[in-house]
Amino acid sequence: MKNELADLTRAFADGTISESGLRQLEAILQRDPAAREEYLREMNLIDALEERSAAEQAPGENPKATVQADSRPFPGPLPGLRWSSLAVLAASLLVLASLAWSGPGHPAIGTVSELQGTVRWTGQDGIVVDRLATGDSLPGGTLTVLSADSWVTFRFDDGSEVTLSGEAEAVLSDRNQKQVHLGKGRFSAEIQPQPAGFPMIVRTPAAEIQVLGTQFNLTAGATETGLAVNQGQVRIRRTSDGKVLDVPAGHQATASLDLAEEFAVQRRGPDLTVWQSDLENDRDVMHGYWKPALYELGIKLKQAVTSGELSEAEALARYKTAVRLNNQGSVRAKPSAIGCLVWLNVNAGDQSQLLLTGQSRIRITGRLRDSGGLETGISTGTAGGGFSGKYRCKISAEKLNRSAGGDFQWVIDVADLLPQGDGTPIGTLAHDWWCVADSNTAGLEIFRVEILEP
Amino acid sequence: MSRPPINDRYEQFVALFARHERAIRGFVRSMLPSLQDADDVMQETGLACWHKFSDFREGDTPDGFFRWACVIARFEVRKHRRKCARDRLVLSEETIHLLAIDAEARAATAEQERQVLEECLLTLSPPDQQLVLSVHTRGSSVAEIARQLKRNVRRLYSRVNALRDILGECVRQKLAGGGA
Repeated sequence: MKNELADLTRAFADGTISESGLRQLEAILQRDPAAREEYLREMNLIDALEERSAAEQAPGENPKATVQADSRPFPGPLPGLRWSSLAVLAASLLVLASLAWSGPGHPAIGTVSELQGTVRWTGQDGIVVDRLATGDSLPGGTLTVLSADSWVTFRFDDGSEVTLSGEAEAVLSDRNQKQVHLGKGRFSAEIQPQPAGFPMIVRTPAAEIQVLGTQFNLTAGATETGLAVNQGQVRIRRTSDGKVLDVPAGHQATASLDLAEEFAVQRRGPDLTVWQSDLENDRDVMHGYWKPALYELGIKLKQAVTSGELSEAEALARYKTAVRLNNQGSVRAKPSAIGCLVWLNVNAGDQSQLLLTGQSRIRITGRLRDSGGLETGISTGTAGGGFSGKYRCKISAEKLNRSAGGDFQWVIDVADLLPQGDGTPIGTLAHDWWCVADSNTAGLEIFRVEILEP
Repeated sequence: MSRPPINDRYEQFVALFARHERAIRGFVRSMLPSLQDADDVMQETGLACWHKFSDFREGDTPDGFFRWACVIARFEVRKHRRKCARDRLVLSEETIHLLAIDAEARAATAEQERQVLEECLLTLSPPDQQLVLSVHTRGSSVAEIARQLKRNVRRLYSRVNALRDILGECVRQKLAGGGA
């Protein structure tokens, strides 16, 4: 009887029990308290052995350890299935991390090495942490940079660093191989040499990038991914057709879901020092929407024709007159986490970058319906290719000096832009520019942005 | 290094859960057919305990948290059982109910057994220690190990059970004060 119970208990714990065996075990357990005691004693020993085994396996959470385990008299567990008992506890506790996620959790894969603004981390269990701080260790999860004026740099345990500049979102993992799913935004990476056969993989909606150790920048949108390589070489695969390019240092490529768009390696040209926005180009407008100048007039004229106030000929004549007077459009600000925002990609041409010098000035021409102030800022990268910082400047309503219609022109010396951390924008490469009004109903329009030199 | 402010309640919970995790896990495992099932239920139990932690009142007994958590764990075991009963061989609700009562009552004994087991493991030869631990490793099984070692499954299973007998007897004797 005793052996029979032990056999049934072990078969149950090992997952090898038959249906009839389970019925037999249940019958014994239900009628005999002593049998339950024996059963629980056996299950406790098995649980203790499982825990002991998991503890022994805990240090071997990498492929090298698995290889060593294979050479031992008895094989290790199946790869990828090792969880210690404590890790399970940790998995539970990690969910509680909204208060103090720095306690036991999934294994950390790196730390937040720099952070400014509003950055959110979402753990594997869906827990959201909005109050990240420099030095925080994080397991795999999703980093979301919630506003244009924010960024975060994450340092993997091997010293590889990635910077996400807002608005941006990326899922980071490092289970023997670094993987990043970059949903959107600007991503700069400086990657240490990765183990042979385990390159870092970055996936975006339009491309997949393999990295063995290099410095590169990515800009991911819903349909297009731009890659600029500054050191080493990066392999990019266009998602839509699987075409692969190897992009060396000093070169760039853009992968689009639209196969009609060119997908080729391009050498970067010399840095430029002047730039003017191209607001009609939807690639360059990251937040805000383009409105042709005559859009509203067109609507009014159509309404007038419909109501009989004007004939079609009169409406057309008025429209043509307006076209001659003003063919300029604007980008209207859209609400955002930091206010009514226009945010532009600083694109100095297909093959060049914009260098900010000590003489650089930013001239913003726009219209603001409300009487509040504005803030403008610029994100920049270092000449070597990595992320540099974000620099900004505010202006009060009085100093903005709007016309009666709300039009303004604001000129700022780049040297006067203040860093959010340390550093200066001078000598860096402009990545993007933004302008934001405090209120989401401020009615901000931007007609033109220029970066000039005297 | 700056951290988010630590909530006292959270700290208290983490401390209590960490202290009793092993016992709670043993309680859960005794009613479930696999390590993976226990992992799943422990995760749910940890969450549920936290969500209900505001209801917990620390009484006079040192194992108050364990008993409180066992109530939640038992519920989670039953929930898990219902989820997988259709396609898995699991214990009935009635058996689980009986086992839960007994398992909770023998928590202190179970902890002693675990501590003594460490000593007993050392009485086995290193290859036997590795064998017995290998078959209790997550994702592993006697059949899998027998396949990898090119050994007969039945014989290996017999060997493993013999080692379990040795360990069980050793634990029993040590707790009875008879040494091993």
